[in-house]
Order: sequence, then C-alpha cells, then structure tokens
Amino acid sequence: MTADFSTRRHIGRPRLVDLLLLAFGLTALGWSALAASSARRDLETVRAAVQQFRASAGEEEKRLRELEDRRHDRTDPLARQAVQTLASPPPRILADLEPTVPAGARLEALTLTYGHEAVELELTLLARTPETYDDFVARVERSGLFGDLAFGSENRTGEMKVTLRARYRPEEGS
Amino acid sequence: MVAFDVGRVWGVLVRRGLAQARLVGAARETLPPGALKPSPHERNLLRPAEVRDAVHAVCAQLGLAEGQRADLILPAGIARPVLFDPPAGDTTPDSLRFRLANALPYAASEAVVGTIPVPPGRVLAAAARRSVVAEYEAIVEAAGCKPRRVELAPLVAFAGLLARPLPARALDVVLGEAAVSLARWEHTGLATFRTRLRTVSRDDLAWLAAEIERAAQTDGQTSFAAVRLAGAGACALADHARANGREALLAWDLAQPPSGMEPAEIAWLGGVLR
Repeated sequence: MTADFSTRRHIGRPRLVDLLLLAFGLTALGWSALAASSARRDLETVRAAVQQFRASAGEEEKRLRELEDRRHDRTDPLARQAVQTLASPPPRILADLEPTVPAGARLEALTLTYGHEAVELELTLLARTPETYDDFVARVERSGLFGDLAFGSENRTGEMKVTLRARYRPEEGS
Repeated sequence: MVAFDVGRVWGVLVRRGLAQARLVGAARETLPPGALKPSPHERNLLRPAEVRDAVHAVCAQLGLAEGQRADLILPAGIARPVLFDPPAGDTTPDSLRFRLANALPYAASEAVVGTIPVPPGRVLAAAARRSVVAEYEAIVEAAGCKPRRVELAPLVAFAGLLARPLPARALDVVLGEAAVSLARWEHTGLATFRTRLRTVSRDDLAWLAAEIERAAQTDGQTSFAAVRLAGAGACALADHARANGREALLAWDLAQPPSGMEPAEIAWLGGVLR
C-alpha cells in the first residue's frame, strides 16, 4: 500500500498481521495486569505481616517498659521477681559459677530461687580434699558475684560433701 | 481492488498474508474509446455510465457482493509525481502541498497529496485534484461497491520497483496508457524521475525509445546498464529495445497468471503484490 488519496474518511480494514499484533498486545497487557495484581496482593500480605510484627514489637516494648517501671517500684514484688528472672537467667549464673569450681571438686546439686530482691542459690559441692574445698570457697569470695555465704556442716576428713547457700549479685562482680 | 486506465478497468482480488500478498482473482473489462481520459484537472470520466458498467461487470466477475469495499488505483496521467528531498524530513500534507503548489494547474487547496519513501531520505510525491479523485470514488459507488483507499498507479508501481533496486545507470519505466514515468538509478538510489504524457497519434514505440535514451543521458552522454519496464506496452517496448541492442527486463511476472493477463503489462501489479 502507498499513499491514500481518498477524499472520504474511512477506517481501513485491519490486516492479519495487525490483528495478530493486537492479539499479542492484548495478551501481554492481560498478563501484565495479572502479574501486577498478584504482586500487589503479595505486597499487601507483606505489609500486613510487617504491620502485625510492628504491633507485636510495640506491645513487647510496652510490656518491657512496664516491667522496668515496676522493677523500681518497690511495692510490686512480682514485677521485681520477673525482672530478676530476665536479668539473671540460670545459664548466666552457671557460667559465673563454673570458674569457681576447682579441679578435684564438682557440683552435685544446684537450686535457684528467684526472690523479690535477689536470686538465692543452694548448692551441694563434692570436694576430693579439704584443700580443694577451701580453694573453692576462696574463689567464690574472690569473684564477688556471690554474697551472704552460709556454709553447712563440714567434715574435713578426706572427701567432703558440703551444702552452701549464697545470693547471686551480678552487679557487684569483678 | 479496482484499477482504471484509458482503455480498461481491472479488478483483482488480493489476499494479504504475513509475508506477501497473493493474487486470488482477476477480471478485466475493456472501455470504449473516449469513455475515460486521465487529466490532472479536468473531468476524467467522460462517459460515466459506460465506466460504471465496466466496473460493475468486473465486480460481478470477481463475485463481489453489493456494498463490498474496494480499493481504487487511479491511472497515470491524473498526477505528475515529483522526486525530492523533503526539508528536515517534513512530509506533512501542508508541507507537500506547498512544495507541489507551483506545478499544479489548480488551487493547491484542492489537492490531495501523498508520498512514498525513496531511500535514502527522499520521497516521491504526487498531488491529485480532489474533484478528480471523487469522480472515480463516485463511479465505484454507483457500480455497487464501497470505495476505500485510493492510490495512484505510478506510485504503486514504484513502490514495487523500489523494493527491488537496480544497479547504477539502469532505468525504470512505468507505462500508463496516458503517461509514462522514467526513473534513473545511481549508486545512491533513484537519481532522477520524470513523467511524460503519451500521445496516441505519434509512433509510440519510437517516441518511447527516444524518451528512454534521453532519460539515460547524463552530462550529455547516453550510458545505461539496462531498462526495466512495467505497464501498458511493456512487452512490445522490451522487444523494441532488445532489437536496438539494449538490455531490457520486464518488471514482474507471475508463476500462473490468470487467463488474459500479462503481468508485466500491468504497471501496479508488483506494488500490489508486495
């Protein structure tokens, strides 16, 4: 086809190739719309999850702030106990206790009681010799992490099995 | 598609595929002398009833239903195409009208203009008078078809020829019954283009051969590689050229042309079947 010299306005009949291109274009458009819609749905899901996470994080933060406030509030022992639990978890106490046990001694039992003011420890130590036991006591005192030490009955002949009470004081440690 | 020339009306059915168009039907009706006379500014259809009957007969032979749309190809001689470089590639209708205005024998505002691109960067432009185009549209409508696109035979022919470039110093000659267009190729593409009216009374073949020699002249010397011919009288002119020692080619052919059709004798055929 060359230049159109027609004096009338007319809409040309589309050629097969035009129709094919149109069909291809419409298919591509439809596919793009579907992809865009799917992407939008994904985005909304992720946004909702982020929103939920933020809300949850906000609640946790609020709860922690409340606990912190209640920690300083001496009229709320329950809160202080909860804060103690958060601040001095058992693994941390065990980790602090471990360097105080010398070779030739071992912990037989350990009981932790989370009180309103501090964490109470009751431990049973088995020492091969009285010297080893003395070494343990010296290390415990040197660490400064344990206070209000109360020793049980001692039998200083050969192997010793002693029960000992103490308070965990991490803020005073060396 | 309905095509007009001085002595005949052609109707062709063309099926357009993805790569190429295919001729699926053709019909021809002869016009009585004086029924159609191509002119850029005067009435063309001097005996419209006879032209209408010929169009109607062609449509009937092709099995076209009443009101079926048809593209029109108007004959050489109603416009004089011009080859030029559009300034800054501007081929808007107003710019073309301004460029062609001086050569028009009527007001530029009455012109319908169009172009085909001629690589590299040139155009072949033509202007047809609106009232002349409307005559052909009206006659096709009167014959029962609905006119759609309107094209000019020389532009359609050159659209087909430009798709198959010739070497430098070769000539393309497009023969209409009323006018002939001659174009010379150079290394850069089409170099010159001109259109001459044909006159029935003179020795047509000798005159055409002389026009070809003139078109081939550059700097006063005739030198050309070959001539390619399409349109009314192409076969006879090719024989004449060969007899005079010139290499002559026919522009197009069909593997199985419809009966009564000599493809090279139809100037616009190659352009339609591109």
